[in-house]
Order: sequence, then structure tokens, then C-alpha cells
Amino acid sequence: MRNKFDEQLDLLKTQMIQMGALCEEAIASATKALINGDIELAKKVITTDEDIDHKEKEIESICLKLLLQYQPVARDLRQISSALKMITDMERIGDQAADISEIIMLANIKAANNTSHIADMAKATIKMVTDSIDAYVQQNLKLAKAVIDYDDVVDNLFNDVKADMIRLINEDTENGEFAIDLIMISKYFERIGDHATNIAEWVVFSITGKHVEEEQ
Amino acid sequence: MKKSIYKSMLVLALTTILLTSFLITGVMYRAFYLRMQQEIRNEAIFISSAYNLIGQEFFSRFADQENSSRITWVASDGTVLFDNFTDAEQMENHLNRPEIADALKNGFGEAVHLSKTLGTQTFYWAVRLNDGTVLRVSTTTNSVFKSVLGFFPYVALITLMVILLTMIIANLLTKKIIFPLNNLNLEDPLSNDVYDELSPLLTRMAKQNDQIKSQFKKLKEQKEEFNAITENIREGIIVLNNKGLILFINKSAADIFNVSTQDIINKHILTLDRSITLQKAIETAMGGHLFEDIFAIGENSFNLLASPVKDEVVVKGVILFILDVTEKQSAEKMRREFAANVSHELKTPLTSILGYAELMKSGMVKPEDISEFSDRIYNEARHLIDLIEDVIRISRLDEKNVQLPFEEIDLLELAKETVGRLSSLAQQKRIKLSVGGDNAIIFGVRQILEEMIYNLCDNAIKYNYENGKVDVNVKTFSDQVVLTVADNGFGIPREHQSRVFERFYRIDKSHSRETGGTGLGLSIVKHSAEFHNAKIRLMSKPGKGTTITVIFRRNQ
Repeated sequence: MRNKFDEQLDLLKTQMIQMGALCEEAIASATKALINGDIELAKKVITTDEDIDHKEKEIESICLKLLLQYQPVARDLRQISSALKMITDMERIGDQAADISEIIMLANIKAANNTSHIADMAKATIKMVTDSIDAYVQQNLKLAKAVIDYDDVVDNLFNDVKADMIRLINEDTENGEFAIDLIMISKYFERIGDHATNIAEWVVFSITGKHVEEEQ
Repeated sequence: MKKSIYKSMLVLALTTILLTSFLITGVMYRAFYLRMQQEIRNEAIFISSAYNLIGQEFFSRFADQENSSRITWVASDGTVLFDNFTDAEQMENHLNRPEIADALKNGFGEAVHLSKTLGTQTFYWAVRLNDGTVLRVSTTTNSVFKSVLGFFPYVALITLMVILLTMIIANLLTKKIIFPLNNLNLEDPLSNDVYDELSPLLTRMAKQNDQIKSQFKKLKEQKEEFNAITENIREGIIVLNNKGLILFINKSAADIFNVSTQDIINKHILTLDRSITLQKAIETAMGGHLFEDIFAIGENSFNLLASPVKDEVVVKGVILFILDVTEKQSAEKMRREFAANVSHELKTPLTSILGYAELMKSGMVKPEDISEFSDRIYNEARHLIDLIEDVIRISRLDEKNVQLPFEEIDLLELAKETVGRLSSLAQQKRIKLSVGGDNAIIFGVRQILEEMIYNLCDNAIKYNYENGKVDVNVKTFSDQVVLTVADNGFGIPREHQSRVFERFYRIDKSHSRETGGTGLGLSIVKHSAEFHNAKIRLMSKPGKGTTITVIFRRNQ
């Protein structure tokens, strides 16, 4: 009975890692597509997003099965409930990566590499997502808290991008549409950063049993 | 064991008790039965003789006398005339009783009546008297069952004692059997001093001990061998079970993923790395197929080979081979770039030559200009040949296995010779060339060293101002020979210093054609130095000049 439960819990963990890997892949591909203007890669992100949605359903059913069949308590319960919350954030990350790709496919983003801030922002966001999933995999409290703090970096970069875009429009109003597209993309990156923060917060909760605000 | 010994002893004892009891009861009963019959007959004969002598009043003596046999006197028609136990008149007709009937007919008759309800047995003996009446004597005793029932307390007592005794004996016996077994020296079974029955077991144990020892040793050797191989190879090896848990990971693989071997054993492979390529590899291998692909960790690329471990058709696990191909890939990239660069560099002079030739061919060139045009064609062709020669040189240096004649060379003499070949070039730019230092013998390939010095000096002259100077110096130290080529020319800006040794790298791409270099000079120098295991140091300040030092190790 107990063994079966542990087995299921392990399965949950590997599925979570797989879903995390898919998220990383989605956002990394979206970023690459943005910087290189690679439409084909952007299209691939859409299918990755579908995989992520599928994975979310799978993990959800594992979690519910675990809760119903074994009625876990304490740490086990925390692990399962935080997994349930985390997959929502992961799924949103997938969606937003897909949104970024859709903008790339529709708009003319050739000049994106001129604006280094947005590339920095993408890199910072990828780092957040990767670290938050690493924190889950290694159950690393310190790393999770570092991710939460790192969100400020992404927020500041978003302000920088905003300033860049204002300058871009001032220089030439022709750039207006392009600038707005980039603003939207960077807003998506900023949101992804927030979701990564949420994931990290759930990691903290699953380890300590306390929410981040309570801890401080 | 104790229980079973106890049980069998108990069964044996109880069976003995029961059988003995039955047998004794049977024998005793039979003797008792016969004696009862005998007694009753004697009594009847005695009473009948007395009656025949004394007559009826003899019976009255028995009346109301208990503890004696029952005497019944029956008339020849069956009517009871007298009974010393009950009133004769109330008794029924006895003519049908078997013993009476027999007595009337044969003179005597006997019968035994068993009353199950009372558990008693009644013996009858009837005898016909002289007057035709019948006398019956009967006595009642307990039946055999009741008698056995009477034994029962004694039998039970004996049984209880036997059980107790059996327990004690069984205990002692087991102890005696078990004690030596518990205290056996298993390491050396033959040294034990125990009862004989154990010796075959001990012999076998000794044999098996030897077998186990030798097999264990063999296994340990195999394991050590396996470890020695896997720990020292550069390829990473990871063995997974069918659930994806890591059963084995060698040092190289642990280094690749930057983990410690102990921490990761028995964890899921995805906690090690969750890249999509790896997931796909494991999934494919779990499905029983081979998988091979390139995947990246950070800056490095690895060749990943996932191979299923099959037991007939069921996949029992997966073996992952991970090979660092970063260098191989960068070398391949460099080769590709080199080929592209060479083609490009070859094409430029050829295009010029083709252009001039075309103009001349179509007759659009005035006769007085022809010498200038041919001059240009000549120069471009010259450059082309220089370039091809350089490419050949560098390709030869790339082939590290090529056998070239090593000999003892005086580096100073060689430098003087080489510089002499460049004096006309130096004179054109009015550059002062000087060679100095110690005579230093090194072991090397003349041709390669000559090219190296030539290229160094050629660069020092080419990238120099007019009236500049170039100093070549050879110095010997106890363990090394140092060749220095210093100029006071253009110098190399800091950001380019790390890259000038790359093939076809030019600091000023737009003016490179004027100086006529091939872009391979310093690359040849670098390769030549590497060929001789020498080190190169570059010091340069833009506008002030460049000093390149080549440090050879001595006596090699």
C-alpha cells in the first residue's frame, strides 16, 4: 500500500520534471525565434504548448487519484497540493510562450536584436524558469528563494525595454507597430517571470509548509 | 524441531498406553467372563443338589438375602414359584426365556444379558431339577464398558505423567541435538567436534564455503576490473533500470552533469537532466530501440547514445553513453570556416586577374597600358601563389603525424640567413634590420623554423612605419632558448591581440590587400611553435610596436 503510494508520488515527480522541461523548451524556443526571427521555430512552440496542456491534465489526474485513494497527510499532502498549483503556473508559462510565438509569426520582428534589453530580459526569464524547476527537482529552498528575489531583475528590465520603445517611437513613428509588438512580448516575459516566482513560492511551501510571506 | 520431536514421542507414548489398556481390558474381560460363567454354574449345581436333597424349604434360606446370587425357581409351565429378590407372584411367565427353555429341554441352559442402559451384564444359569421344575441362578456385574470406565482415572493419570515426561525428555533431547548446531564454527566447519551424524553436513558446508569464497573473489575482481575501465574512460556511462532510476553512473558522466556519484544513485534520471533530447532518448530506448543524437549542456555539446538492455523482448533498463564532442565539433567548424575562407581568398585575386585579362582580350586596353595591366596580373598571380603556399604550409602543420627531419639547428644562424632574404624588402621601406644574441642549438625542423622566423620578420617589416626598425634576438637560458622579434611599428590593438593567431584574421580588413599579406602568417607561426612544443608571448602597444617572443625548451 505504502509502496504503491511512493511509486505514484515518484511518477508525479518525474511528470512534473517533464512538464518543467517542456516549459523551458517552449520559452527557450520562443526566445530563439524572437532573436533570430525564426518563424519555423515559433510554430514549434505552439505544438510544445499543446504538449504542456496535455501534461497538465495528466498530472492533475495523478494528483487527484493520489488524494482520493491514499488521503495523504503532512508533507505528502503539501507536495501533491503544491504540484496541483504549480502545474497551473507552468501551463500559463506555456501559453505565454505560445503567445509570444504568435506575435513573432504575425509581426515583422527582424530588428529585435537591435534592442539588447529584450534579449537580456528573455535570458533572465529563462533563468528564472530553469531555476524554479531546478529548485523543485532538488527541493532546494535557497534556490527557490533566489528565484523569488530575481523577479525584480526581470521587472527592472521590463522598465528598460519600455524606455527603449518610447525612444524608438520618438525616433521614427514608423516603428510604432513594431514597438508595440515588442512591448507585448516583453510584458509576456514579465508575466512568465511572475509565474516562475509562483512556482518557486510553491516549492518553498512544499518544503517548509509555510507560505513565503509567513516565513518572512 | 523441538515440537516435532515432542509430538512424535507423545504419539508413541499415547498409542502404547491406549493399545496396552485395550489389550489388558480384552484379556481380563475374557478371563472374568469365563470365571463368572463357571461360578454361576457351580452355584446352580450346588443349589440344585441341595434342593434335590432338602426340598423346597432350602430356598427360604436365601429369601431376602442380598449380596448373593439371584435364585429363581420356575415351574415346568414357566410360572415363577420363588424369587429371592422380588415377589414371585408378580413376575411374568418365564417359559420363553432362552435359558429356561434350554433347561427344560436339555437339563441346563445358560444366557448372558447385556443391559445397555444400566451398563450391567447378567449371567444366567438354569438347571432342571428332579421334579421337573427349573432352578435359575443369576448374577449381575458391571459390563465391560463400565469396568473400563473405572480404569479411566488411572489411565488418565498415567497419560498425564507420560506427557510430562515426554516434554522433559523432548526438551533435553532437542537441546542435545541443537546445541552443537548453534555453536558450529561456520568459518571452518571441519574444525567442529560434534556427533557423527553432522559430519556430512559439515563437509558439504566446507566445500560450499570454498566455492563461495572463490566466487566472491572472482566477482570482486570483475567488479574492480569493470570499475577500473568505467572510471577511467572519458565517455560517460549511465545505467538505468526500467523505471528510469540510475543504477550506475561513472565518474565522467557525473562530471559532465556536475554531480557527485553517490548523491545521484537511485534517483530518477530526469533529476539529473531534463532536456527534451534526453527524455526522448530514454523513451526511445525504453521502447526497445537505439537512439543517437547530439545534445547540449551549457556551452558543450555531447553525443548521446541510448541503448536498451533487453531480456529477450522485455526492456530491463537503458545504458546511456555520453561522449564530449565539443572539441570535435569546434574543429569541424574551424575546418569548414577555413575552407570557406580559403575559397574566398583564392577567388579575390582570380577575379581581378580575370577582369584584367578580359579587358585585354576585348581590346579595350591601350597598348601603352598593357605593361601596367600585366604588372597587375603578375602581382595578383604572385599573391595567389603566396596564398597557396601558405595554405599548403599550414595544412602540412595541421597533419601532426607527418614525418619531418628533426636536426640540430643553430637558431641565431638560421635567423641571420632568413633575415638576409628579407633585406631588400626592408630596404624598400628603409627599415633597419638587426640580428643579435647567442648561438643556441635547438632540435627542430629547419624548414618550419625558417618559415616561422620569416613570417615573424615579414610581419614586423610590413606593419611598420618607414624608417622603422626590427630587432631579432636569440638568447639562451639554462633550460630554454628565447627568440624575440621586436619592431616599433603599428602595434596590435588590445581587442585584437587574442585573435591575431587565428587563420585569415585581419585587424584592418579594408587595407589588408595593400600590405599583401595572406592572413595566414601568424597562424603559421603559432602552428610552427606548437610543432616544436614552444610557447608564444605577444606584447604590443598600438603605435609603439610589437614584440613576439617564442620560448623553446632546451634539450628535448
